[in-house]
Amino acid sequence: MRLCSPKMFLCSGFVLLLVAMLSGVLLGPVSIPFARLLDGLTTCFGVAVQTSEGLQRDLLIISAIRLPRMLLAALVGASLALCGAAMQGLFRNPLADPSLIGVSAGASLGASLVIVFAGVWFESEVVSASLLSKVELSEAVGLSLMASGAFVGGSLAVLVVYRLAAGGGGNSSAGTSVATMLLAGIAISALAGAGNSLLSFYADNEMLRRISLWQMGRLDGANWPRVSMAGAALALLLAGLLGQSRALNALLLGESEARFLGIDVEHLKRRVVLLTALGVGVSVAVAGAIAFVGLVVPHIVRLVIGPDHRFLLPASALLGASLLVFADTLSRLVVAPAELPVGIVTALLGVPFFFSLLVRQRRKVT
Amino acid sequence: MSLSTVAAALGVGNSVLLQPTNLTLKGGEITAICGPNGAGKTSLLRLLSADARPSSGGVSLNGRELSRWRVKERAQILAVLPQHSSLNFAFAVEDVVALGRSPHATGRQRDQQIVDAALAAVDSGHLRGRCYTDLSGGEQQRVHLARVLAQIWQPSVHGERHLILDEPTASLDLAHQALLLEVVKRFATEGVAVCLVVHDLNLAARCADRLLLMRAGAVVASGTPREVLTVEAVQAVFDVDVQLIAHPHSGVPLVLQS
Repeated sequence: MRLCSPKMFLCSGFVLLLVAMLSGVLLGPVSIPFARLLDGLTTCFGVAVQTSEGLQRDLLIISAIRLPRMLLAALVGASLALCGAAMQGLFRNPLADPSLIGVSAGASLGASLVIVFAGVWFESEVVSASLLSKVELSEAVGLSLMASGAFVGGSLAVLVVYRLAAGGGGNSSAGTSVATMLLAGIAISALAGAGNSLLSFYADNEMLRRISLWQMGRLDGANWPRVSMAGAALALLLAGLLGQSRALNALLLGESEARFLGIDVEHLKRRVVLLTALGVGVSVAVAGAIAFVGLVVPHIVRLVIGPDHRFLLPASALLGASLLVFADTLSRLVVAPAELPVGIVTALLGVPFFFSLLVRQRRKVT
Repeated sequence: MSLSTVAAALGVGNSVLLQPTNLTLKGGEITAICGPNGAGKTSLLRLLSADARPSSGGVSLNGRELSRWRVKERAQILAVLPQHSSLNFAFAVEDVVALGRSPHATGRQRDQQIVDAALAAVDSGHLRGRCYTDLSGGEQQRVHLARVLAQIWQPSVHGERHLILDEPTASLDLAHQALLLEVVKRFATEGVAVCLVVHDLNLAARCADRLLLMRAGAVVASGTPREVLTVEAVQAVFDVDVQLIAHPHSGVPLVLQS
């Protein structure tokens, strides 16, 4: 049941996200004092005139490295949490998570296929700095290609798992089976894993590095094209999902029941499948497969404000963004000046959580 | 203006779940369907509720083919309570009942009034703030009943309202069974066409204006409970020895298993 009112939770989510974003920008191997950020802002808006070398340097760190990275973390975290929440609604099952049911694996296989077969695009990345605009262009094109590959792979994975777990026909009013869903996820992850290994086997060094990068989930490749792509994906997700909150609520009763309540279930399912595949696909393309954000975040939100999608979806987005920004900041701090891939941090946070959920589900059944 | 099947049949592969059946649910009338397990009762309900398309024949709602209605408009005049519900998310009870208002756009205030009234009608007003997943089976059943009642609480511009209940009394105690029958009768007097599947013949006889006996995918008897409930008919349909006596007050037939 509710521990606090949804509106309060949304407000505190905003505050949390602001704190996370500030710490993401200010903390790191070179920590920047908050006053410096204010100075920088006033300089940007032409209020103050005096600039020091230190200020210049810090501003460069922020605008070229930390700001895009922090924004990418926030956008990817929000997308993943939103996809997780929507997918759990679609499966009527709180254990559905893009990384557990094979969607992330499918998406990364799609991305790897594109990396290998469209490898031409990435060769231009080593072009000299004078051709910066060309590099950025090819980066953007390559990224969209990879995102499309990830999107197709992700959609196929969701469709297969849903078909299997929901019992094929749309008539069963029972919820999807957890066991079938997780097993299908294992099968798809294994298939995608085999595909990835095969590709790695044939890939050259450069491709290999990229593929392994994608499988780990990390944010150090952040740049503005990626930020804008993740931003566009999140905007589409929000636009396409927030309006479906009531329909998703009704779907929790079962497909037939939702239909009796006047919901166009087929349309809703198609929309959720496509949007979550898009969200996960783009996230995988820009940041690799970051596990468990889509599982942990909606769960915490449900514990606090209940399962009503009208609040669950926006609150998950806020909390997901905050979580990934925090995790990324942490991953840059613990072994500074080196850094951990953020996927490792989220997995370390998520796995114990997942185990406790499994245990609770077992208790409920027996 | 009614919900009716015209020679509608349902089959999966080679097996026939329901023989071609004609049935009309009229406003203000309560139709009860009885029969042994696997007699095709739920198949008939699935056709009536557009949950399955007939493999032959047709189903029409207020003069229009059922599948040609817009889902949302259809939901405003046709509420269905399935046998089981799989909801396992921790909604508050009043939120579950409020789902029944989703096909309507009557505004939050009116919806809240209807939700409260529907909960009160099934003696569950005290549950409104409780968590759905903490309730007992019977309480959950009442919450879903309140949900389908809330769905067709008010007369609609789309015509006569219909209420379809699949074994609504299965997990209810005696008092709440009686309450359910009362609520259903009240809806019927307001012009709602009610159709319910029940296993208890006596319960069916108490509330139904029309009783259908089904066996092996076909309707074998149809009429008022007095016409249909004969020793021969019940023995033929259920394969059990029974005796009939008249209820001391109402005079409707009572089925006693010997």
